[in-house]
Amino acid sequence: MKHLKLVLVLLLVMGIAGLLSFTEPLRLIRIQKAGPGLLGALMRLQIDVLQELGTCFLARADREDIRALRGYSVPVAVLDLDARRKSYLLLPSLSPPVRSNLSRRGHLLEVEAGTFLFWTETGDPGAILPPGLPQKPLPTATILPYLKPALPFQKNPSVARPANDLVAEIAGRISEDNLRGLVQALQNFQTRYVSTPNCATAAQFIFNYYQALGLDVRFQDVEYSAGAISRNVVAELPGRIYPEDVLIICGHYDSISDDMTTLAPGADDNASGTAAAMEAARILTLYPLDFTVRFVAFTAEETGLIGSRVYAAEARARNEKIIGVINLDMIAYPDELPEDLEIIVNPASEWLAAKFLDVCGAYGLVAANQVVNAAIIYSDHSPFWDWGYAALLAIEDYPVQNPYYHGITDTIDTLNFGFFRDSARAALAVLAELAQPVRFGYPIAPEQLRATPYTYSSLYNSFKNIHLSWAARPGAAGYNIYRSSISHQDYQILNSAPVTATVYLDRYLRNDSSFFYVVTTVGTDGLESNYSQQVWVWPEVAVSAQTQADRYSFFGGVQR
Amino acid sequence: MRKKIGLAAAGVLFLGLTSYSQVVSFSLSSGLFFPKEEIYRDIYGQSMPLVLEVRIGISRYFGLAAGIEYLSDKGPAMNVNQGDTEFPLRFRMISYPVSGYFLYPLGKISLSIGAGISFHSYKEEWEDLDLDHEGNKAKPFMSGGIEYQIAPRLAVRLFLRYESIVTERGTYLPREINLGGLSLLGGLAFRVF
Repeated sequence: MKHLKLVLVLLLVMGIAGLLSFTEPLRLIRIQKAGPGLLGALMRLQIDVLQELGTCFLARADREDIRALRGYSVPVAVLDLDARRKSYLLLPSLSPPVRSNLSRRGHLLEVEAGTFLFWTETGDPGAILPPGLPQKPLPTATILPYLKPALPFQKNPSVARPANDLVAEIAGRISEDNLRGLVQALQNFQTRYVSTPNCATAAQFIFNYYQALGLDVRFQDVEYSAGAISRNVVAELPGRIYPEDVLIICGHYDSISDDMTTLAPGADDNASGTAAAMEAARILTLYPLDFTVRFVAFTAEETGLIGSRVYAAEARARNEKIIGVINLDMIAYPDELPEDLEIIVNPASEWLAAKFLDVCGAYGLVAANQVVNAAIIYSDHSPFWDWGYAALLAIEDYPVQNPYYHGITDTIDTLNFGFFRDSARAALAVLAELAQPVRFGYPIAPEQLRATPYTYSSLYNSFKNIHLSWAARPGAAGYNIYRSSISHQDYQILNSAPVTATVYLDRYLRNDSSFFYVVTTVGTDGLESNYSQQVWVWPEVAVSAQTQADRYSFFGGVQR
Repeated sequence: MRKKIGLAAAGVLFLGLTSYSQVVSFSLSSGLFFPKEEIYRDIYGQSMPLVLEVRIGISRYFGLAAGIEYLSDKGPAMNVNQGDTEFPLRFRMISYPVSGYFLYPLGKISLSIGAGISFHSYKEEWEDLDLDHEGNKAKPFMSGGIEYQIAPRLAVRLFLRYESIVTERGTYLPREINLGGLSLLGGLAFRVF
């Protein structure tokens, strides 16, 4: 009997130990960005990377994963020992009183300079935050499938950059009066705080505006708190040649202030961005484009980027081909003159910022300043980053310098409409350059461009040949093939005379570089079409260091 | 330069020790090399090195050895995505091993184990492209074998050798390429003294 008790106790202990091993909690960890092999290690271990920041990634991992990462010499720090059923918020620099208040009511960690992680053991940490504090919920889906090798970004200054007269004409049509009228109309709603009826009325106003332009418009429902719905407004101008390739210009139309339920004019934040997108739509409806352009007014940005998070997740679920996103958020208040526009991107979207600066320079538009920092995540561009889309934030200053920010005094009379017009023109010019206005009388660019890399390797050296193919365009005299090492710019022609075949082999290319291709059609009269869709080939990433079988390739927009 | 230094060292060793030696023998061996590196096997398959060695017995049980080894291989470049072009490659390595060994005689049979260092000079060439790579490394090795005396001055020798030759990183595989592996070699040894 005595032994039986002992056996039962032992069985109980073993049972509990077994149960504990099954319920091994996932930790929240910080992975320092270090070493060229990091991406390979993350892929090999299939780490749930949730967020990219400036110097690190935040991820979910169990003990085995952490041990394995350290085995690859990846610097890992555990932030929370049990990440199950918890919501985390990312917050920017906090004032000492806010920091002290949040530290008392939950866990507050500075994960890197200027970025805090806040969570509570139970409940919604967002409920504790003071209203108007920028925030981004830590995503729950992994961004691992969208991570790409980090390559040095180098513009080629020797490539000639011709300005397109049509694009200059389009950008020049931005009207200061129209911008003023739209901002005034949005401000007239008194408040556009997400939970107010005025917000819904503002959404209807934006919807009607786009509908009056003849665009396809829809509402997208967004649940911003349990059972409460607000709506994104999505308008589309389909591309004539490549309707499935989409460019987005967007801004949030909701507003916030200390008195948000009755007065939150939000003229700069963000009637300005919303109005610029609406004015861009008015102009672009006059110009047929090769690629599709969407004009999106997001809701619930001020309460945690909810509208854009829903939109970006759905776009990825449909596997939409979004070329780039231009998010306009506060583009009309210069704290000093002359003011430059901050163009904020993550490393994967650096090409888009470079394109913005390039266009501003070529067309003599607003001075723009490029900031590559994946930790600036407190606007609607950030959810697009999370789903692997290139996106930029255009903002007058970061950190925000507008003294009326999130106040009841953020009104139209504080804005500078000259700067606002120039900012809107720059955004429209970039959009038009990427969407390519149709040039009547010119040939049409080829479709179905494909790129297939063939890699050859010895022990020490390797290179790749890239095989390009496209569909023949009736009436074409030939085709020109262009290559760049940066997306959507700096294309250099590869052929000395138009090629008549619909295939091209680009040979002996570096294996550790990315390449971007477009093709044009040359007509019998010698006129050349706009560029085709772009295809690209990224360097492969070795997931296993041992064999060539376990490697990820990124090319043609498809990860295989 | 390293080739010359290696040859000079081997020469000095040989001349310096012959005056004290009890036995000096020359051997010529060949056999199979089993590369440790998977990509090496994929490209070049199995190799057949050629080894010329001189052994100087400095006592009944101990001796020193020095030699020269030549390895040459040809194969097609690894074709990762089933491209339709073949690019021939050529790999050559000349090594200068210097070692000490312990010999245990059992009548006509002798067992030996040894360890030393080998100076390697290697070159990989793309026959149709200007993508050559060459380098030099000095790395340790271990060996062990058996020798059977078939005539007063002639013996058959069979031995195993293992070495790890970690070299530079490849541009395709993200790690250092190891040119080492296991060699199974056999040959004839001729005793001079």
